[in-house]
Amino acid sequence: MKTLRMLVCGFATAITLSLISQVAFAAGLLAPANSDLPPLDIREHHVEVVIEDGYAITTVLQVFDNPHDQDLEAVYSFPVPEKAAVGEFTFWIDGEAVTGEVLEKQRAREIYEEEKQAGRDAALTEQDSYRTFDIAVHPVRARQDATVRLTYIQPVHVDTSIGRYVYPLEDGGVDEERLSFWTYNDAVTESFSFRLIFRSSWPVDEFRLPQHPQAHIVQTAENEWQVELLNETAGSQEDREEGAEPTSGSIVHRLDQDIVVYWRQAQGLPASVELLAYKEDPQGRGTFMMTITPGDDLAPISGGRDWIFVLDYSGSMEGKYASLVEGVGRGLERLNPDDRFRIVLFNNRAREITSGFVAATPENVDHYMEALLSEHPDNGTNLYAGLKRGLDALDADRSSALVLVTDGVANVGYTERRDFLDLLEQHDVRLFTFIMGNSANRPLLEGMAHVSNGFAMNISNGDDIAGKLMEAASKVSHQAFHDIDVRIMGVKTADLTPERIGSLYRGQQLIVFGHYWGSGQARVIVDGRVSGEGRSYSTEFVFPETVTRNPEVERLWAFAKIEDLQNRLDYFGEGADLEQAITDLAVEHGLVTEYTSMIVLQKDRYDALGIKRLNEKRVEKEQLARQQRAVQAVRSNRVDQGQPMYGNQRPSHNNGGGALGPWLVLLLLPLLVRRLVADRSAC
Amino acid sequence: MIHRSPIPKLTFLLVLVVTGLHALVPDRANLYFGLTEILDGEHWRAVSGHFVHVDGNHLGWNVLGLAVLGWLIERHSPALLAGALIAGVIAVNVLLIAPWTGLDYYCGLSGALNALLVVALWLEWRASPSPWIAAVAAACLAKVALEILTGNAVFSDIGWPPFAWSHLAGMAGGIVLLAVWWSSLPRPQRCKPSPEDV
Repeated sequence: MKTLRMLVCGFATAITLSLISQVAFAAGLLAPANSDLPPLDIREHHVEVVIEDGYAITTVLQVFDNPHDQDLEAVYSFPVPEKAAVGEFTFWIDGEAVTGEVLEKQRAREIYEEEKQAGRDAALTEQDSYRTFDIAVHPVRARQDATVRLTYIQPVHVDTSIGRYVYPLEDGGVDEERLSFWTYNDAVTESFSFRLIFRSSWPVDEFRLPQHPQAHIVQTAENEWQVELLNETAGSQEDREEGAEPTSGSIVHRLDQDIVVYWRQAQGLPASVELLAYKEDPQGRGTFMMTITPGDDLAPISGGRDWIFVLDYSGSMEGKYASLVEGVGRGLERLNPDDRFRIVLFNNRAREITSGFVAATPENVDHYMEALLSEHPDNGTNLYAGLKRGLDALDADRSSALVLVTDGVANVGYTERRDFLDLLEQHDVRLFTFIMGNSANRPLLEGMAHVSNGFAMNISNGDDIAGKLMEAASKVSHQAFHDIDVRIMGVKTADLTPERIGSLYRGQQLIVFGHYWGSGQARVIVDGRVSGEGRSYSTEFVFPETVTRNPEVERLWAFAKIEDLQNRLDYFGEGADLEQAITDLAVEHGLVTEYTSMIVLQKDRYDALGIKRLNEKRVEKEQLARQQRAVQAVRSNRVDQGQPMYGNQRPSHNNGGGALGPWLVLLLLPLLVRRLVADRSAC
Repeated sequence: MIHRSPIPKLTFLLVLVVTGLHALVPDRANLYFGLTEILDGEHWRAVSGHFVHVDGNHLGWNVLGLAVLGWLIERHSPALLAGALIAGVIAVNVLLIAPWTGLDYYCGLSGALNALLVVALWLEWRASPSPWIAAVAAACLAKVALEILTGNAVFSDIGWPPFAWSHLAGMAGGIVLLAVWWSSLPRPQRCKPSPEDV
């Protein structure tokens, strides 16, 4: 257990150091490099986040300013937030807010271009695979501004009693073609704000923004907190070498750093099952989101292991590589005598720098650290080759773990997700993936970890090293709950997602979405295996006949279902049926995906083009529900109080520290003064 | 005896060590107090855990407290300062290995500093009793009681949950040290009256 924890410590440290040292690219307005077109400004950028009932609603309002004498198009790009479903996009046309509608991606792009050519107002939000959301607005009229608002929802996970929300802004800089084509203007010139409202029936001890200590954090009511950042001081313009600068003078904020918010639940809270449902028609179909927070009943594990490190040293790792090697070294130095290791490096091709498994003696560690340091990152990323080399090195007779560290995108050799999943399924090994920054191929890396029953950990520049370290160490040093199956009896349910749950590590929550019909008492059973032995948990609670407080649950279910379909599509290859299913689901629920985009047109143009205003109605319903919730008391969604699914508390890090604090130091001052005065008198 | 050295050397050294550990050791997690690791052979954690801190805020207030308390005690006796620190560390460790504590990791000097606080207050009281000292002692006790009862740190914000019991343990360590020290002091001989006196 000690070895595992140390190893993870080393990695977490290395990754954080390397993230800090890397060149930061940012969210911002794009302009073609070497173009004569004058750049636009981001005049205002306001973010409002509401976290309640287990999910976050993030609304970003932006004002683009055109200080020039010609009409221009604004293109704003930002990293795709984790599991975010963009469902609302509003563009102010002639002073009136117009809500967008979701269409098949190609059609939306064609309509946008046609409207642009015709000189009519239009705006478009597209998703560029897992990389970015891109907002295009045309025109931003000469000497005027344009206002857009984007809203996305995402489930919020609490891990080991620590909640985490990330507003991603940093681009990892792994897409060189894109970076060379565009310049980024990430400067906000007039007004910036970030406001997070948190409402929860679970008591919270503290909020923390590791990279934004100036944040104003207040507890506004018993179950309500508010976190605020306003017009922060931005770095000087001289500090910047990359990107286009704003045309107007001042900069109040730069959109180049993720905003990470943590909250720590009170210790000793019980494990729980929470149910959030939405059902308008008693006779119709309802949608639910069930969040299971397991109890702390996974025992610590011990014993020697084989460790295979598969490390990315492609060109995008330049500037991060040395720190990464340092972290590997620190991890290796702490291995047990029973442990062995191998190291595989990959860029265009993969090669092993160890000669088979080597014992973790100090001499071997020093030797291979020197070998690693003599390498220079360059070329592309042949992730498949690296992974295959690592997996081929496994010794079937020993317990093994593979640690993959990458910041990027497979772009050499096999790059299809299905190939990677096939490769992993052939081997009995847990894959622990550390995903650095916002630009890595998250779906691929998470999918691989999922298939191997391991876990993937996203690490932002804004993360707290100590927190991420504890989180990872706690998982690898405890048993895991594998092959999980959820059954619901007594109420008719269907469309449960995720279809394959896989494994749960210590501290992780299980969130299951689904549809249900009817109402009444249901029995929920969660089966799985821990260290090869079957384990089962169950509880009973009521599915409501009607409930309309959280209409967003429908979109959350749809997004989760689309993720499932996408997984299937990646696994089984191209499939027109699956693509159509994703498109249909996304259009019905108003979601931007890889296959659908959201377009805003002048109101009369929707009718002229035969576009139904489905999303407008959904948005109205959700906005009304949000307004109502804001004035209602915070509600507990726990449903297993009567028959708890777990008999113990939820896990927490159980760390402790104490500072004397200003209060006590102030108390000491009179003593100090008194002593100094007495000494002077004595002299 | 009071040492009026212009530089309280031991205090200065301690401040240097604590600050240096924070500034120069990036992987401080390997120094935190963790019972599992200590039992696995990483015995240094039993000491190092008290001298490393979670973040700058945690470090700053503790170093400031160390500087003030260290100076107040060292001017009387550097040995007493060292003794108080050791007593504080031992007392907090005894608490941390108690089964009911249940902490995975602990770090920070504040627990041990409470032993120094008790000793400093006592020294000041001995030098010249004053209501000020009694008031400070009462306020310190009230702070610890409040922290234990509410589970929240008073006016301090660090990355980890507050563990106020360590402050109480540190105080207990300081009291035990004073008791031992007091009992070891040579007692003045009670002289028998001489025949002349009679």
